[in-house]
Amino acid sequence: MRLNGMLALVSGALLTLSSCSSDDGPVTPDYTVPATYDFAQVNNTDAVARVSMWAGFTSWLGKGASRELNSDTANYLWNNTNTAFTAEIAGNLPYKYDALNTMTISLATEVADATQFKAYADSMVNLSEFYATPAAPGIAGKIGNRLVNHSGLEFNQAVAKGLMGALVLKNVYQLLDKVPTDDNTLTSGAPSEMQQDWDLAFGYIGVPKNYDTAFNYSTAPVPADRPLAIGGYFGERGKYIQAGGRVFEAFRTGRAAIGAKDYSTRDQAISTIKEYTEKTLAAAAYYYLTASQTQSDLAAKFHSLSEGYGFVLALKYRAAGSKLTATQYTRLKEILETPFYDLAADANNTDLKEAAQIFTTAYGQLQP
Amino acid sequence: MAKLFFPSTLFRAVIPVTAALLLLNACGKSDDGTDNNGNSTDEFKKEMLVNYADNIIQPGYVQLKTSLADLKTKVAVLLSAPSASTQANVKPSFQAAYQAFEAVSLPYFGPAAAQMLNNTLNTFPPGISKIESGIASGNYDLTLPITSDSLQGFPALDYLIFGEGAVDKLADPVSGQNRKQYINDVLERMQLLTDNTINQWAAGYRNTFINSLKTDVGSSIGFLINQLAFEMDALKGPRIGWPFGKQSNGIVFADKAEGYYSAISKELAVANLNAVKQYYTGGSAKGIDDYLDLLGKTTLNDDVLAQFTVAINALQAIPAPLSAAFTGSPATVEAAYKEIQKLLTLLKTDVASATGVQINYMDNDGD
Repeated sequence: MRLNGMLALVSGALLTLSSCSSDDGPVTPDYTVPATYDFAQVNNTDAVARVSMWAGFTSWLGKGASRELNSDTANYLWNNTNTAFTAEIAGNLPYKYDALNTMTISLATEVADATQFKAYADSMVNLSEFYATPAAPGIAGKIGNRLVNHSGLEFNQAVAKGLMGALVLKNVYQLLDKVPTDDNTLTSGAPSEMQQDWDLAFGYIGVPKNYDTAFNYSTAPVPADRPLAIGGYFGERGKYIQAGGRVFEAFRTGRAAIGAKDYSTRDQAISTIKEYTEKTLAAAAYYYLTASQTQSDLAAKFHSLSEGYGFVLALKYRAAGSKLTATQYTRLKEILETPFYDLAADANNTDLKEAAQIFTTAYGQLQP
Repeated sequence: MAKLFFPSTLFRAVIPVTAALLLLNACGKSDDGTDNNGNSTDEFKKEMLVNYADNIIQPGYVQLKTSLADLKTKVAVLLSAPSASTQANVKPSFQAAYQAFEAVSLPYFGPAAAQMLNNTLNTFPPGISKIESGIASGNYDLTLPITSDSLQGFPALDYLIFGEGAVDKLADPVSGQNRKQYINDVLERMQLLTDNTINQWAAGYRNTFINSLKTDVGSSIGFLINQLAFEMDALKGPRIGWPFGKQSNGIVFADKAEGYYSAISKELAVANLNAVKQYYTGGSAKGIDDYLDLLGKTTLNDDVLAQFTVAINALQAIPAPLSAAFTGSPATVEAAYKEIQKLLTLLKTDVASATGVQINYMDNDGD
């Protein structure tokens, strides 16, 4: 009951927001925006399946903290060959292991800077032989339940969070940038090119068609079509900025607008999506760079810093004209490339505070 | 620490903020002036933080330093002539130093965190087989961060000085030499890290600490309240609950308790909880309790203060030594455990929420 009440409050406020922003008099749309992403002829399997592959691949990499990983398996999963996905790592996803293994698509072809991210993944595989030996400054190994490199970084976090930019942002923005010049001839048999690209972009977001920002997707039984990748972070670290509701609404609105050839609404939706997907990654990075200051347990601290590192990698793929300048971004990377042991040894957390401040300066308040 | 996570806590904190934000921003105005600085409670907060820094935290570390020096003197006598009487002579100093540590276990942020002081001084239980193999080979490195089994700190001393056959092992003309060296190395590292912590506080961290007047993540008040909750979690878990069998279907692991070999687990637990109370009240001067009153949360403050008394009394009611009470008087341990749990909930949920502090010390990330 309480959740429903909250949802109503949130939706009410969102409506107020949109009515205030249109100062040119009321628009009377001749189409309705459905409450779920329920449109005819949606085919975005490739995008949704790649997010499932992301989940399977990164889940497998995480196993490196408790067992030695095989480098052949890394190649197979990355290129989706040799029926590499298994029930263990891809058993409860929108596209499960058996479906993924029969597809001809892979992560390898759609990730920006694929060589770099594959190298991070290979590094995790290489370090996994040390899953049972303790880490120390300059020595890779285990701290608590985390496997870290010589400077304290969990490579699997660099991959998992980095790909939210290199896979998700990169493809979503590429598709949305193409949409305005796409053909939008509406026929009854198939979606237009514009609709098709829009649907693919939505697929990369990783939320279900009936996404509900108030629903707790981690309650057992965990649904297979739960929010994944950036979609998961709408709920995990993007609540304060209301990212999930805004992005989901923008996707539904934009898709309906395309059907009615209402391009100004579509373009507004594009800018909302760009703004809040990027801001979600910024909010997550900000959270981890501040939480790490409170954590005195090195396992917790290094995990937070690794997440922060991954999200900063992801922000490389932010849209042109981002609020985060190139100079600010360079400084963020510099800070996170400091050995984590050194960051931990600074009682004042000077560098981490500076990093957090860069985020606040660029984006405004990101967390409560 | 185990994974400890209470979703309801976070959820409660998020809802009102979200709703308020939406109302404020309904017409797309950017928020300004949400900064916690510059409001009317700043003067109070500063006085409170000065009190914590100058009357509680820094003197606490100095007391630890003094106690460790005394302990080292007594240990030197034991090592020069191992006997039951020189061993007994160490015990009061060992207990005093350990209790002095309990008094500074809470401010594990800033310099102490940078030095990994608590991790080094008090990760328990000790990793006995690693300690013994280190002594036998003479090959050990106390500067490595402790990841699972502790080689050093109070738990190692507890075992090496008060464990079974400790005096005989020290008296062994051959292996005794390595053992003595190990004990000295452990003590020296404890002293070094304590000194470094004291120096860092004096050299600049005090200034940072007292001028951090917000309550956001990484602020001084944020640290204090996170650590209040953390210490209560540690009391409920490793100090009492785990050895009592709360994570092992009721099977007691008395030897995993803090200070097991010297049989001072109960005294340490009481010292710890008294210290937590002192960090809550700020002693006789301004503390979190007064801050709650200032925020109009007097009922909550009264509840917390009353629960401290109930919980401390319940701990005191356990017959010493605690290790024997786990099996000999489980009802008293159970009663104390329940009161500690109640106090934990008050601090971690209600006080954190009332002060607007996010609890985020734990490694609860599922991904």
